[in-house]
Amino acid sequence: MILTPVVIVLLQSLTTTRLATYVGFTGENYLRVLTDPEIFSMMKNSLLYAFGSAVLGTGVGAMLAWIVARTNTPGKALVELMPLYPLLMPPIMKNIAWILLLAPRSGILNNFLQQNLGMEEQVFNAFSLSAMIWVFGLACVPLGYLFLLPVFLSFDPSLEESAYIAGSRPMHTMMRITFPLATPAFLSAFILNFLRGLRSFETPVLQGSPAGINVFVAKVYDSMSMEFNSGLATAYSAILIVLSIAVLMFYVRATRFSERYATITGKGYRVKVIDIGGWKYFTFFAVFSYFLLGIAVPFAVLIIVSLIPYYDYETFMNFFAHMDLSNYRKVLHHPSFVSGLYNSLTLSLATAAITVMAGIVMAFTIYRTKVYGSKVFEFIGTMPLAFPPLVLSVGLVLVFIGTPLYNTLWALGAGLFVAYFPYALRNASGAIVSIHKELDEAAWVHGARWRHVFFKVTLPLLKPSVAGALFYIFIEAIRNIDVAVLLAAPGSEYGPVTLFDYFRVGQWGEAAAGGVIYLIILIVAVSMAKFVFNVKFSL
Amino acid sequence: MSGKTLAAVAAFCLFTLFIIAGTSHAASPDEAYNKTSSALYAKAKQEGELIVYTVWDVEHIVAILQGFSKKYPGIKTTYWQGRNPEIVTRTITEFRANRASVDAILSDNAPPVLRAAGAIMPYETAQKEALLIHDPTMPVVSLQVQALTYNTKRIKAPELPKSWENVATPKYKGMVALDDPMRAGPLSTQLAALKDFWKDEAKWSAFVKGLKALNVPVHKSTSAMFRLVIAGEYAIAMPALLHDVMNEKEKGTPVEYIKTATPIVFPRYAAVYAKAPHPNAAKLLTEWLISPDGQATLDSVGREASRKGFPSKTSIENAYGTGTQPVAVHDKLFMEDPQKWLDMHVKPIWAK
Amino acid sequence: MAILKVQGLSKAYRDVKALDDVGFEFDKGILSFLGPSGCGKTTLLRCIAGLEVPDTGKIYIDDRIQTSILEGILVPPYTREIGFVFQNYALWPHMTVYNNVAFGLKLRKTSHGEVASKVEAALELVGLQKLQARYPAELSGGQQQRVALARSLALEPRLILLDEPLSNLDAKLREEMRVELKKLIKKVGISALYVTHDQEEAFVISDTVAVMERGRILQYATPDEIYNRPANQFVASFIGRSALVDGKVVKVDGEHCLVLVPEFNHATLACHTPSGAAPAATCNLVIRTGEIQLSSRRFDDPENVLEGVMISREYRGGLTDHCIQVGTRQIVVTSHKRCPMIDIDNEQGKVFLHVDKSAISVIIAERAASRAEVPA
Repeated sequence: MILTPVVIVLLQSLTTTRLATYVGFTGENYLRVLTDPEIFSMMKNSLLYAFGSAVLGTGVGAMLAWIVARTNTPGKALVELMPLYPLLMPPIMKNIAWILLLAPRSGILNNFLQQNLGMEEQVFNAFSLSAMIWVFGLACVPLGYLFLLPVFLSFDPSLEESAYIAGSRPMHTMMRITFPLATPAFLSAFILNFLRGLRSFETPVLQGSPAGINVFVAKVYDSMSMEFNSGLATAYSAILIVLSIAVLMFYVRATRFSERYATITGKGYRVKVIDIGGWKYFTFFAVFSYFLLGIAVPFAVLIIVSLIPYYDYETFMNFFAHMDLSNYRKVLHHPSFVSGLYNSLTLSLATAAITVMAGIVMAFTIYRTKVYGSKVFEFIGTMPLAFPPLVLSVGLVLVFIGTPLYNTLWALGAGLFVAYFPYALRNASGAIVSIHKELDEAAWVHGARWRHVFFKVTLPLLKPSVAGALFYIFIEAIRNIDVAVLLAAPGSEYGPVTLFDYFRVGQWGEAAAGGVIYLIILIVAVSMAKFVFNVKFSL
Repeated sequence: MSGKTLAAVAAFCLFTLFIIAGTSHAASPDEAYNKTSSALYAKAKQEGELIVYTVWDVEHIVAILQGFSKKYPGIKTTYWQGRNPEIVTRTITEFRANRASVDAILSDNAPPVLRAAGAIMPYETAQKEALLIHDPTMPVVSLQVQALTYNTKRIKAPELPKSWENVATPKYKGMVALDDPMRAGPLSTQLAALKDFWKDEAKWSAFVKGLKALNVPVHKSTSAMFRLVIAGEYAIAMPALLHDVMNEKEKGTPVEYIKTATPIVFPRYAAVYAKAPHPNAAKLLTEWLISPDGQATLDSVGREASRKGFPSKTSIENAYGTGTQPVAVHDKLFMEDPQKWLDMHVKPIWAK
Repeated sequence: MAILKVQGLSKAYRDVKALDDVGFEFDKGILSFLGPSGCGKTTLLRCIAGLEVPDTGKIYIDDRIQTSILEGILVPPYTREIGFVFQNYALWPHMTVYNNVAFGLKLRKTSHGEVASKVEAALELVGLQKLQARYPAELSGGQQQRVALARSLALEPRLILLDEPLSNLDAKLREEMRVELKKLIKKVGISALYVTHDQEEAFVISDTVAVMERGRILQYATPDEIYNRPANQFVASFIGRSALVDGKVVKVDGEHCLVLVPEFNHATLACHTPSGAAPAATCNLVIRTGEIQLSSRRFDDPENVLEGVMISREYRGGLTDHCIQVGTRQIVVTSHKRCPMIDIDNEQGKVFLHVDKSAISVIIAERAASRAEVPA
């Protein structure tokens, strides 16, 4: 299922050239990649950018998860939700908002500093590597948070208590005991964020190229958009595949003694909240700052932009005088606003449910059964992430084109499944590793078969991680266009086309208006789901 | 007169009508349209369906298909919208797999590439006399017009460049935003068009070198670049698209284009897919789009007309004055394999 | 008929032999596997439960084959019908006490009423019937331990395996629980395999003890025999507090022999003759210090009396540790009924130690024995 498109795409890279012309078995595409003098500097940029973002994002996410799960930070219900809201905002919206904030000459912050504090120089530059890392790193936080929160919430406190007894202070314990024990989940989130960074295109295009920072994935994109050569694009992505395999090997090695990371043990325990005293105001402030930077500030900027006819600093500051609702009128009259939203809601829900389930089954097979060679699936299951979306999409089209499934919702669903399986697998494998093996073994010796172990022990224990992954994949799938685009049948609107259409066209005012509507719907939906259904991330 | 003579007269009239129609092919595009479209409509109704792949915005394609259905009821229309690489990839893949999946492709860059791969059914419009740019195998239904655009708050009239080549002078350092000339975007189109138009290798390469010497930010997203010019980040957009500029001007945005810089155009085609399951419906769509009715529909969504002298707000005549001859891209290599063209001509200068 | 029969069981992790040709038969009662950590005792238990696959060997439970690597037989753990109590209890945190205990019963398609009554009975057995609605997190360590036990007993297995079940409890509770555990197992009347590294625990609980080291069973005998007649030096040193000294057999006289101990100022000690003893053979003496009698006066009978000097004395609750220098060795002797705490009242600070024959085990060093046969 996952392997077929991957194999087809790889095979194509060895047999075809421009415009999918079949040229027989050839290494030409790979030769071109290997002799391309530009890729080294591009690769360096890519690695710096992806690594920086993944470190920032996953690190902050882990800190927030710890704060929320293990400290007596006030306002628990709100604090638990705050780091999740930024996920609702599509990355490109964040790019635009931050460009508006940080642009050297026209940016809100620089203008503000210059006009009100009399500063001469331009302090911020949206078009720089650090700004790229800042924006994408902030977008990486929710994944780290979602992966680590369940781990910290179901953490056997005796693992920490023994450190306190040994004289270790809370902060020290956190760094030396708590975080290392969460390594599998942390690495899982890190790897995903890293690969997302490597193949992310929007941030480098919008913020990188004006600064002359070209990333590796631009090569892949050019192969598709200028040469229409998916074989060559795949050959370029092969570098990403090799990289991701290397990263995964590191992961498999690091977690090979999986028992060491079992934080959910069979010893009954109460998860204890650490009283951090006056620090709790600080931690609240930390969570709140992320909420501000991750969503509130960019969101506020976009709301204002959606209400003015065009952005420049002057208009922005006097937005009351310029306010009008024409952008909203345009969006609401968009022909596919409602139908597109509805279609993508249902499909995303189904995709999220199926993908998460499959990820758990796969992780269970890899880590809990002795099925020969199942470790390989750690690699195969993560591979779709190494392909840029359009390349993967081509592979999926090739899989389905000969079948009656082509141009049906099934093919689209399958495409989304393949695209999001890596998230589900990484999430599940990080979470399964944290459950002590003895809990499974106790079930076996007391008469449980595989299916019983899976449904009665593993699955219920995974519930918190499942909730997180469902949420994440749902939110991602609902706005997916890249993988879905080639698989959507003519006449079937998928995705809140409106919104993304505006982004593609560059109508920032309308895009902001659409984004604001979309975000409000999602924020209300998520908050309701949280409080009405009492979704919990703990056991 | 008896009924017989009546019938005979009628038959004669019909006969002469046919003759006139046959001989006066070039006489009037509107007549040609009426004739061709009614014949196509009869067949298209039989086919009953029309599938369009398009790069145009969803809002626009919906308006276009609604206009088409109003004029020609009985043909069910569906569309799929994607970016150019996606359109090319999808169509090529379907073509290689022998699928009769689409009828008409509405796009700028994609059709020439598809034609090179043999995936386009050649069709010459009956209204070719009416068009500013004509392609005998793919009807040109609209134009992408490049305008030299500036922010009126950032730069004053006396300092403005007069022409495209003026931009490549050192005084605009730090004021210009450039579209990436090494990608298949507006600036590379402009370079290809001007190279052909000037037929002066030295002038052309001096122009490219001049642009390079500006050492200004290079954008891969034309729309983002345009927004940043509006925001005041840059003073001059090299280049912007005319319909964007017109649209913004209407809202009162402080942008203006320079009329002395010749408009540079790239055709927007409505091409018929080689394995189209409903070819007549596809041809009917292309004819209708070129017809005054179709062009008016395009104007209503703010898109440029491809008809000579068509009175729309984004037409060349309206924007630049009657008789303005736009500079168009003719370079076959550029249209079919932009990468190769850029590697040959631009890269040696730009990558230095 | 044996409840458990193990033949030629071996398992290696990379180069480390966790099990090295282990074989034994076991029928009734409680059998303890005693040994230091890493000796393979847990691996053995897990192989028996079917949680681990040995490299070679056979395992029979109730004369039915469960594991036979050569024949390719591997009965899965869920059909072996045994109980297993994990070191960390392995209670499922998302289930109540009731559901934890009922888990296996429900899987057996037992009727609803029967499940309830069996769970009830099992919980009553361990004295927790009042806590069935609680979650494991709401129980103390000892209570969790009992739930884990009840969970296994509820299935009424013929054999129950316990993997260091008391090691997570504090010392006082551990002592209480081991007595209780033994009573309970005897009351239910099933056979039990008990893994521990605590020799005292093993002796209290079991009918038979198997001492393991480096994947081998060194001695398989009653606690009494192991204590009094350790089969080799390792067993001897692992069991109880004992002093180990080198010696040389001077004379063999039927049941008794005399051994010269250079470290004890060349004193000679009379001992029970071990097998393979011959004059001039080098040997090791294991002296169980708990059986030494101390006195500040000379004993009437000079046989097996050593002379030493008191170095220090430490009170340890009701007991006192006397640290005594004998020759070049220091020996710690703890006061007990036969050896009350003493004060030194002679001038030289001398102490006299009487070591009975029964407190000494002689182990003939193998290599030394063979060397002794070669004329110098």
